[in-house]
Amino acid sequence: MLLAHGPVRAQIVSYASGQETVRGYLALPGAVGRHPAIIVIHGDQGLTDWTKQQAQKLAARGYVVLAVDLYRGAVARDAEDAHELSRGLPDDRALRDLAAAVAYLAARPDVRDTKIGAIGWNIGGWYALQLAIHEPNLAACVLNDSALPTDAADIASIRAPVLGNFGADDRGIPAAALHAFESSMRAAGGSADLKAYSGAGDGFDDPNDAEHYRPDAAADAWNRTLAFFAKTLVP
Amino acid sequence: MQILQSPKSRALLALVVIASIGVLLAAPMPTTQTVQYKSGDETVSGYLALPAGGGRHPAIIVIHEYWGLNDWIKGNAQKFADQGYVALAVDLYRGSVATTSSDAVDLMRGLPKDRAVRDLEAAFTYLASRPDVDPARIASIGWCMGGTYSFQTAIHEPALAACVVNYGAPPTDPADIAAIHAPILGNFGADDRGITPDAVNTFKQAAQAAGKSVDLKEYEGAGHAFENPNNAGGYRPDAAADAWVRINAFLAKQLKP
Repeated sequence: MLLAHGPVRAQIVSYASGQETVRGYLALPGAVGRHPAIIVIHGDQGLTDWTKQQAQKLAARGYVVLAVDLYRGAVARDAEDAHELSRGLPDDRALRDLAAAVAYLAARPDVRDTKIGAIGWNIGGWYALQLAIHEPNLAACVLNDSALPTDAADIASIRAPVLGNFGADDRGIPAAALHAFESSMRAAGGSADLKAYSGAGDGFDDPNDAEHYRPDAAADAWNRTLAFFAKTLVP
Repeated sequence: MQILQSPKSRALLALVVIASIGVLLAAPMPTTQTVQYKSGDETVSGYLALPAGGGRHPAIIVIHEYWGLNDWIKGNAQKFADQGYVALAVDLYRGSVATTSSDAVDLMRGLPKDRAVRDLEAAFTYLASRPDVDPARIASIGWCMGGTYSFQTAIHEPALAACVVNYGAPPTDPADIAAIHAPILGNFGADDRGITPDAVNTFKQAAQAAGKSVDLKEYEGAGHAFENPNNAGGYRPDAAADAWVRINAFLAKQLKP
């Protein structure tokens, strides 16, 4: 499967977001032709090496992957710094950057513009859902350890199927929040497949977070993610 | 704590406590209570501090940091009530309060931002409907995450009369900035990595170009959360004291208690 798509190439790219120019980390599959695409959205630490690795792993599966940099170059030094950066991020700018990422990918000749999905971890998952709310053409949305919208009108405007992975011990996102979102999505005729892993908190899929890393849950969540993208983005 | 072991010291302590209560009773005390009100289909709770005296008062929505509705925030609400404001400290976390930064990060990450804005609009409606509040004189104030939500309150509630932001993320969208009617006072730390002086300045210029009233101050040598005495490494007493003077003067000018 990996070889079928050839070696991944990665580069930093620039594109317009409103009146500004922003940068992202682009990972390309080796094969030529038009590919489905995925926007990768980092957590509160910023565009870390781990986030770039996720982009590379997805590119190896045949997707054009753009990992956005919502912090515009800043990467957290520690947890306190991550809080400082995430609290300082203007939501409206983040959403503008994500819409710009969709436009950038859709304009690329190697991207199938009807097959663009998004995945985010931590705060990035919230933004992935915000993108789904504001971009009706988004074809798939994956979130991990992220807050879920509650506004009925927002939820009704989500057209993309949603996949979510959570830690059952996550203090920030209780099971009741998952159930409420699933039932609102069902009521609106949407599709949401959320899974909470027992014995896991947030950040369970990051091997660099020794305290929270749960290899079995991480592997299962990744397999769910790959299967979901294959179903929703691959023609 | 050793001192409390001796009976003599205990007697002394009792005397001090009794004397303190006497002093406290002599001054008009704000009364505080937990109140409930509707937010969408849900019922939420807040911490209400009431000033002494009858009649209609100006009011302030007090918005907590990523820690949640803790004692520091409640104390701030009481300070406002002391000055003649009806102060409602909202509880965006619905009962959860963090004592470690790790928990605080979890709670902030888990907070649905749309629900938070709905709760803040509900807080405004609740205050505006109280017979002891003048609905034309309602302000918001927040710190850290709450500062960002104080901005959001101003964007979503055109009848807000004043907005105070302490190291909250300023909006960048011109339509959002245009929607702000309340005069804004902002206090920021120049060393804040998340909200840089550049970001503050960009907002200032955009807001002024849109004809908004903004008074933003950057404190040199201060970073994020410099007003919170519990922020061991980051508390800056001088900057905090100056920020409080600015806050009290701004609210007095805009709301005239």
